[in-house]
Amino acid sequence: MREGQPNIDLKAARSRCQSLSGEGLWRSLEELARTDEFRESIEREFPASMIEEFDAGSFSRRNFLRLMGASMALAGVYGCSERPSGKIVPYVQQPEQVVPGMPLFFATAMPLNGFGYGVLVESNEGRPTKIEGNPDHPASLGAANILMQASALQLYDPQRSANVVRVDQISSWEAFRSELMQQLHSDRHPGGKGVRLLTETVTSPTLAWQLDQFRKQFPEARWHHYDPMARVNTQKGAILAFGRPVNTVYQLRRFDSDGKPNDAKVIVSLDSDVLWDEPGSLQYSRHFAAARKVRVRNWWQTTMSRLYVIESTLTLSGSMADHRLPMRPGDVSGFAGALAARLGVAGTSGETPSAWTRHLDAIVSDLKKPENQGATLVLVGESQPPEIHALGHAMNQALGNIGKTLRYTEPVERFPTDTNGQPASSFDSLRELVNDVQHGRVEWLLILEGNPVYTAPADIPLGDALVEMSFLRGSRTGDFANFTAHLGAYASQNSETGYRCQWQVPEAHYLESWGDIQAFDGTASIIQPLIGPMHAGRTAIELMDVLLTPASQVRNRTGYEIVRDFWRNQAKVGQNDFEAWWKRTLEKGVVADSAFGAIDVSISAGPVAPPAMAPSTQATGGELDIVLRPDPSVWDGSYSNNGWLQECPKFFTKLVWDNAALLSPKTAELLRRKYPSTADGLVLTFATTDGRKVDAPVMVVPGLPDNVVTMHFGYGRERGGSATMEPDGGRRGFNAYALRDSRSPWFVSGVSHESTGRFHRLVVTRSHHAMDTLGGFGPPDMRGPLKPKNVEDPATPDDERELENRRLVRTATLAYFNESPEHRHFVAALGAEAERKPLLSLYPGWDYSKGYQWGMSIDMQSCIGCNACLVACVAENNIAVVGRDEVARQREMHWIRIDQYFASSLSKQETEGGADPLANPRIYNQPVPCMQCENAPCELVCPVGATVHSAEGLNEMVYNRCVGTRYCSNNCPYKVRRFNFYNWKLGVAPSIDLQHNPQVTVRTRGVMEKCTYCVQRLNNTRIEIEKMTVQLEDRIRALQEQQKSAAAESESGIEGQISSLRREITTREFDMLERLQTACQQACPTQAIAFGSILPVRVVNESGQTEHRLTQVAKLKQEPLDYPLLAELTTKPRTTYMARLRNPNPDLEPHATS
Amino acid sequence: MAQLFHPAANTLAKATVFAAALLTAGIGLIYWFIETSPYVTLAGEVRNQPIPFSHAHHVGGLGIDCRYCHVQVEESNFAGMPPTKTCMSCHSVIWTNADMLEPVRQSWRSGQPIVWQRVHNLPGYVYFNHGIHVNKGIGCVTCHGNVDEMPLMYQRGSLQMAWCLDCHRQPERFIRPRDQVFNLHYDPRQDPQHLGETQRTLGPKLVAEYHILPRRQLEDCFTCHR
Repeated sequence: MREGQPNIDLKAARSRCQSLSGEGLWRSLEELARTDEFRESIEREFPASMIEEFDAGSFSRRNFLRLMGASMALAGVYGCSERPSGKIVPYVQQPEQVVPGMPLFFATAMPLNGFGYGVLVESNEGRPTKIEGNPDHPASLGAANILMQASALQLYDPQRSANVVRVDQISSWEAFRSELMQQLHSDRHPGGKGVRLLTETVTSPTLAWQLDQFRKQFPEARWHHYDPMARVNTQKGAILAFGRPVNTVYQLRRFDSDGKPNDAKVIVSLDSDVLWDEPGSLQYSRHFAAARKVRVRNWWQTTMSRLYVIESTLTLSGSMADHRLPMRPGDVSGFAGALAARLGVAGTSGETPSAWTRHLDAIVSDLKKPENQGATLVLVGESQPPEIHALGHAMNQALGNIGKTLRYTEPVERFPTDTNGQPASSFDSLRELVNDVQHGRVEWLLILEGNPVYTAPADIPLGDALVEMSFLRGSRTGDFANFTAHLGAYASQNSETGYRCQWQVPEAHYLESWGDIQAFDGTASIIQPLIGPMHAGRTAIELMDVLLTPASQVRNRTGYEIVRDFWRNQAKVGQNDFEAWWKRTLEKGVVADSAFGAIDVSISAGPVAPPAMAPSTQATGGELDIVLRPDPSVWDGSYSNNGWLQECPKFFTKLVWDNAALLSPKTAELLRRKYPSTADGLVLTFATTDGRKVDAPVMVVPGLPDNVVTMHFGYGRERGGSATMEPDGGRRGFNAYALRDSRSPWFVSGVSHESTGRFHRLVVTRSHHAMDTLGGFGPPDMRGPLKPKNVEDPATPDDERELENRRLVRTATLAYFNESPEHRHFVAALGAEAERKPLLSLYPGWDYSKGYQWGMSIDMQSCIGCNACLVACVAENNIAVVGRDEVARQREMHWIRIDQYFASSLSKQETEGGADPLANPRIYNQPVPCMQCENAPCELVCPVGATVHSAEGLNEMVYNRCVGTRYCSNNCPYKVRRFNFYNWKLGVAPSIDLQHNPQVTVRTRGVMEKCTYCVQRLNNTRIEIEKMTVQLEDRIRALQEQQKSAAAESESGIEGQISSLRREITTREFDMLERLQTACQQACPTQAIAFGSILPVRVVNESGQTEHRLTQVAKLKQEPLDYPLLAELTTKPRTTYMARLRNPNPDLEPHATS
Repeated sequence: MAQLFHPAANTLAKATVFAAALLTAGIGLIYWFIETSPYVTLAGEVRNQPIPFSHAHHVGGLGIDCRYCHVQVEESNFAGMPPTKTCMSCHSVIWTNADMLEPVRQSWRSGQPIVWQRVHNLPGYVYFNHGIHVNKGIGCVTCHGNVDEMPLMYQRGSLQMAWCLDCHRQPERFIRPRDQVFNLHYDPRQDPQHLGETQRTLGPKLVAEYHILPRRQLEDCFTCHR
């Protein structure tokens, strides 16, 4: 394989971007710079680079004949295989409610960094197969992010820890327990002296109670907590502002008592990714998007909230912003200070760099508008220092937002106290523990969950301390020194922490254990299992219960008993009602009324200290700032053994199976002066001032602030399973924790760099499956709104007619949209006259006027690009993971991809004035599944009729007919078809099979596949509707019989019953259609995807009249913003898009109306 | 130059042309014959079961309704197989010592399920739903045959796609009133509810009454494959 990536000509990219000046869209810098790779990737279905797998030398005539001979022989053998014989294994006693073939759904909650996310889990014959959000849970509202989706696969991970292990020797639970208790109660630890517990963030009420009991029983024992994603700055900021820990809950949408929504109208985000990494992000995303859905046909909403984002990296929130300012981390703090000063917060000074004045003035005047009183919100991200958080609280108070767009509650997390009796933050707590270990003050340590050795910041050497503590002579071969044990999901060979402890106890997955957890707003949930522990795993609660057992006893209480006993005392119901309460709570998935109420706190006396303006290192010395963030897919590393997540293209970079040091184009150019070969994949050594080093491949991403490097945690694991590590056992990616400092956990400044000269091949899907015009569909005037000069000028080379001309993404400003009804139509059409003309086709049409006609609407306005739909689709449709090398050959199997388009945000005048058009582009997300074209190009070219049209408008893909010619994929203008080059499921661990959806075929080699609109869900709903209809009509017929035979007096009553049954049939049908959701739609946090029948549904209303009711999707398709992709090809796609509107501040964008 | 071919070669050549055509047709015929024969489809073949359960005795003799054991046939895609408990509800009282039933008692004692050989085995890419067929008036007998006359269970139809399509293309030939679905000997001519009707006249009426999807849609691939 070729070394490294091509050296992109950034200057060419920039000048091209400049010439497009905001109108042109591009997916990657390669495209702008027109590298050969890009050209090839759009000109050829499968680029030549994939041919490299055949070594030309060995592919001789003789080899060919040998292979062919073998194929023929094998084909014969295959043909003679016997039909597989099936078995039926019924229950001995069938459990109540279980109907084989029909899935059951259970409500539970997923813990992530200590916070609960409500989920509904689909169980097929006892196997949890799919995670959905729980609509009743505030942290989900029915949506499920990628981690929630992927946790289903996590359960079946064959590499999870399966045994109690003592230094590589399989031991037993009994042996562990007796050792644990013997050591705990030994005379060495009077009153628990030297006894330590290390947990993750604790919000579980049961575990918190147990920890209290433990400390009562062992007053000398200490509890520490550590979580790499703990919101330490947020907590410290609250203490700074209010003198005590306080939890902030944002209310981007707040409902009045009469149900009327109140939205936050102006939101200023200071380095906060409110749509992604807050524990309440799913709710925040839902509410944020709801305030920006502009509708004028069947709903009326012509206003949008306005989002200003000032940030030191590129976040989902930033990509949704109306105005975005990328700047160095220290500058964000400075900007916050300046903003506070203008809002009149005491103790702040007003000096600001002149570059910010324009934005500051605009933001402040927007915030202070009388109509926005109490409807604004200042968000401060966890990464900003505590002082800025305190400032944020003061700003929100000054703006009168408290109790309106945000509320304060008691903290959800439980904190151990430090030596001064103050609540100890995550880092302080861990530092204290390590300090004590190093000074020999710890003799008994139990680590409950997490992988702290890997996730600990570099200045807290937990790993070394643990080894020294566990083993005499500091080596694992030596004798044991002190008692150390780790309760973890992965065995010691796959876990950095387990490896350094004497004992490793398998931890139960949340889908196989009892527990409880609280969400970001305090809402408690009971975690209930869907399956027994697959590997005899235990939970922290069960282990704590053992610790609380008196030394003389042996007690083996199950998690069920522990949690139930705890809640028996907690539930605010009488003992007799407890059973009913318990059942109701489990069914709902939330403990009723457990959300924390708002508390009244005031900013403590005295001005908040002005923010410590971290001096931005100047570019002169070449030092860079580093911004550290959780990975967009594998998060803090706890999900790194998950193939679905590894293969999920990360937003903005579309990088898979790796992490990289992300740079802005300008930073790359600066580096290029020093290292001329700087390009994606060049490995640089980054070194901090205190000597920490990491080797990381760089990658250029437009939109990042200059002189700032963004790095993601979660990679560079020392040990882990087969997805965590490279196939050769080496580390995958680099470990960003190695640069982390607990005093400044999210930023590192003054980082120097050195080129290693090595290249690492980064696999990105950015330019895969690009929709292009180079295929030459039709004459130029059918190609949509081309730029006239390009078309008419015969000298214009063909490639001038590239992506920017297809109007795949359509946008306008809100002001322009609202100006006139003509404009409304123009936004979606945007000059595409071809779409307005009646489209002609050579082929006879279908009759689409009857039955259900399925269609989808994707709202680009709402899509935040979070990948939830993609992972949900993988989970629902048994989509294969293909691995890094195969993704590099464009063979990823995802049925829905999220295209990310960039466009310069600068006007022509601004670029001519020397501003960098690549510095701060606008970003548009466009999820692209199969469009289910009414005139599908794929169907015409299939030689075996494996892809055909259905009466309901689906473009059917029949796996058992497909012979793998791939003509269909070649002819698909949307590039949504995926081919199984191998039997990807071959060699996958058998436990993974258990996750498969039994309603969907597992495809094999040589078969094409693509989005089916989740046809299994459609068919099931249609079957349910039809069954309901015939059953109720039977009753109508019976009543009619009765009517005939009965005397006249009861006739009127029967008549009424009949008509109410008729009504019931139609209303229930409509409800079932509206409840029908595709997997992507169900997971979407912002409800950007709507799906259903696009024909009006006949419904008999209350007064007995027949009316035609529109489903949600049919209504959306009437909106003027609705437009089809590539409509000029006369494909008539069933999936249409809604144009994206922006709501810029006219003060900042005076030309915004055009 | 001497003749290369003997005059008989003319005849031979002609014969070869016809023979080749015949051979091709013959191979096709043989292939079709084998493919649709019970040798491949396993139709009519009795499988070895752990217990020689007789539908003839239980259904034909005792008159037990299909749904007594196949409880969920009206709601689920899978008709359901009776748990051991269903067998034991009678056989804990009658034939309690029969040797033949030892595997049932064994299962009940040990909690280990009985492992039956599947008789009707559809390929993995076919998604047949019992519930909708039964609800729309397709009788058990239509696919499964007269199980009340089968001492040991076998598959009656070929279960090949053409066999399914026979009905999906002409449902009126097979449909029956919803209340007669579990009647294994239903004949419309003897139905007092439908006096004077035959399948030919009743079928289309029922197809309309039960809103059976049009043929175009019943033939759609996604109806069964996904």
